[in-house]
Amino acid sequence: MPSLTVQEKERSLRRYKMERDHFASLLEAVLPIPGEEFELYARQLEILLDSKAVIVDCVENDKPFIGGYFCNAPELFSAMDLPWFMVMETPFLASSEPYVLQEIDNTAQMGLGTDLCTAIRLPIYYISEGLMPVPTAALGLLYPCDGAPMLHQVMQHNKNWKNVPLYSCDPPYTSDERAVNYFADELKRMAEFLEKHTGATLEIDRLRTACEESNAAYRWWQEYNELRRNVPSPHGWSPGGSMAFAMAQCFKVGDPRSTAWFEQLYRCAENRVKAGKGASDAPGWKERIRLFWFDILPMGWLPQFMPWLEEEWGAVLVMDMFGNYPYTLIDTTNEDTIFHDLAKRNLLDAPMIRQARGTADNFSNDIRRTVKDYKIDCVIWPGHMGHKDGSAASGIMRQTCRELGVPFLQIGLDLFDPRYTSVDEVKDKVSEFFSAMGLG
Amino acid sequence: MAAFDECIFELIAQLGTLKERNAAQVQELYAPGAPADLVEGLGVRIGAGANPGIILRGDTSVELGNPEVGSCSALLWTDDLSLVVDGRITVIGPDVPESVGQSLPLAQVVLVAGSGLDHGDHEALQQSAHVSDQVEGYMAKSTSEFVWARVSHEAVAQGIDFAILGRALLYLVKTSVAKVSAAEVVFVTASREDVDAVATLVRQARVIGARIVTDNWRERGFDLDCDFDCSSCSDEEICDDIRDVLVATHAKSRSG
Repeated sequence: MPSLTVQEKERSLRRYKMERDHFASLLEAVLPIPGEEFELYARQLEILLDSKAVIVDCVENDKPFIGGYFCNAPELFSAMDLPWFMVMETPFLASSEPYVLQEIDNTAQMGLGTDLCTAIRLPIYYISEGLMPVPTAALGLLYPCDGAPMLHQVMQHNKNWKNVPLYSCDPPYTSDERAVNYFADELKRMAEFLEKHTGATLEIDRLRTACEESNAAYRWWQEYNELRRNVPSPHGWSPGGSMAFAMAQCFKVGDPRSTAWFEQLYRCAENRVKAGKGASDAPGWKERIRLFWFDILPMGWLPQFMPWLEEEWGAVLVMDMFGNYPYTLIDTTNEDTIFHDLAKRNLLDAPMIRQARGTADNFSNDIRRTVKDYKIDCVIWPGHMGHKDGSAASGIMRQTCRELGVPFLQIGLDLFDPRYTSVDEVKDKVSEFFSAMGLG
Repeated sequence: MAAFDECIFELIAQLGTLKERNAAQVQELYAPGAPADLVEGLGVRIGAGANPGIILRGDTSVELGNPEVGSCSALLWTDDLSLVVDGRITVIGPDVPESVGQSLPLAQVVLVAGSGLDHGDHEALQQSAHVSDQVEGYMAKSTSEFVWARVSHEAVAQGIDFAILGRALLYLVKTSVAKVSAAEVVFVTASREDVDAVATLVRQARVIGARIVTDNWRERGFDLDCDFDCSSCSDEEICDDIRDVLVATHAKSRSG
């Protein structure tokens, strides 16, 4: 266990508690609002707040917990009853909070290159400044990008973190059976590492239960996504894609509360489809453009942009990279099948990992399938400054869209910092694109 | 010899075994060759937008290819016309009308031949069998590695079966790629074990297909693949030295 002073512990939780309080106030605001969709927001916020409360308790009372990532097979953590938080969670959860802009500026003052992905710069800053909970053990992420290992180097050299044991699964380059089996062994070693350093134990029956529960949630997710193929799509940028991803791979993975949330998500969408309702209930509103946003949502400026798309252009985000469902369920027959399928899910299926690790044809294949199945009118590759791997494949994406006869737009922006390309500039580019392509 | 010919030989042998094993449940049907004749009088519409909405769970009569009960699909092409019997639709296992309320495993293989077919046609051929919304009363879910579909109550009432689905697939393939001169379809629904036997071949075909796709992109000026690794790099020795230094530095930093 890392040995921190009381002051260090308090400091490590300061930001974490700020975020927790931010979400608690959001929950208070959402709870009184009637409507099925708002219930979904509330349930997810409750689950998020529970997760945060558990981490705070672990830090304050010296209980074991881990820092990790979504593609580290979190079903394993659930089976081991190991609390965890995502080391990069702030950019994805709270980057629209105004204080984050100051923190991004602070990363530049630290000397971090402003061309390094903001989602990586922020946790580097938090760790360096002692502003992140220090876990009992940490898991690294060697894929899909080269930036994340920089974060691991900071972990290994920071005064408070240098005694935190770190394990990173080695991702093979290829995507065949040999690669999946290799990665399954890596996950087994990761589980042994966690057992050794946290004292938690992995029992296969508990892992099977977690995976079966996870399968139940994924079944609902798959069903839900089919509903988004309807014209009009029952949901747009929210609720849906990124919320579903967070629920399936970050919060309460392999937990009945997660399954119940997905079932409710499905019911909400099904009710809207049956009623012929689209993504917005605004009077006179009509779905005019079905959009595939092929990346993470712009978490740093979501409220200024996504509602505008729907209101101004009737442009509905029917599918995005994190809402995409390329998963197969985990065969829980025995330990080998479980680890094999966990390896497949976390090496080949998980978003961003799926596209940016290994050969680039997943970019092309995902576009082809999504455009056809979801009746997509245009594809936007936002060109996030951190996604250099994807930018290298933008020619492939553009060519694929040309062959499909679907307009393609690459913007160039920072999904977490609205100052890189201003929201107004993004709106201008998107408006010009819609107009020029005759979509509006 | 075209890239998939070995797979086609193996499939033909495999189908012989499956037919023997399921002798009581084998249908061999023959559809007309001309695309227009394929969709004549089917009872369900075929073509873009033929199934405009989605089929909800409650509206589903038969589910096909749920991966939990077994599923795989492939399109194998050849330039050897003797390997494909044009218009043949082979069904091994129960058909749609006798499976109402059930979830059937499904292996779906489309065999295509054309004397001019080559690697450049590969992607168009693969896309051609992507049904999406093109068969009335039939919704293929949005999956990337197999076919998982729903058949609606209405479509079953209208008489949809594998003969119709097979003709629809033949129509879609023949109208998408002009060089196709013969095509046949195989559906296996007998058991998970039988579907898994075909799935082994499908996995082999996928590896071959991935190589063709990579080559095609390279011809268009795009490298899908990174064709170097540590063992082929002239700086491997230097990198290894740096790694050793890093390990030593890290060990020192921890002990200090």
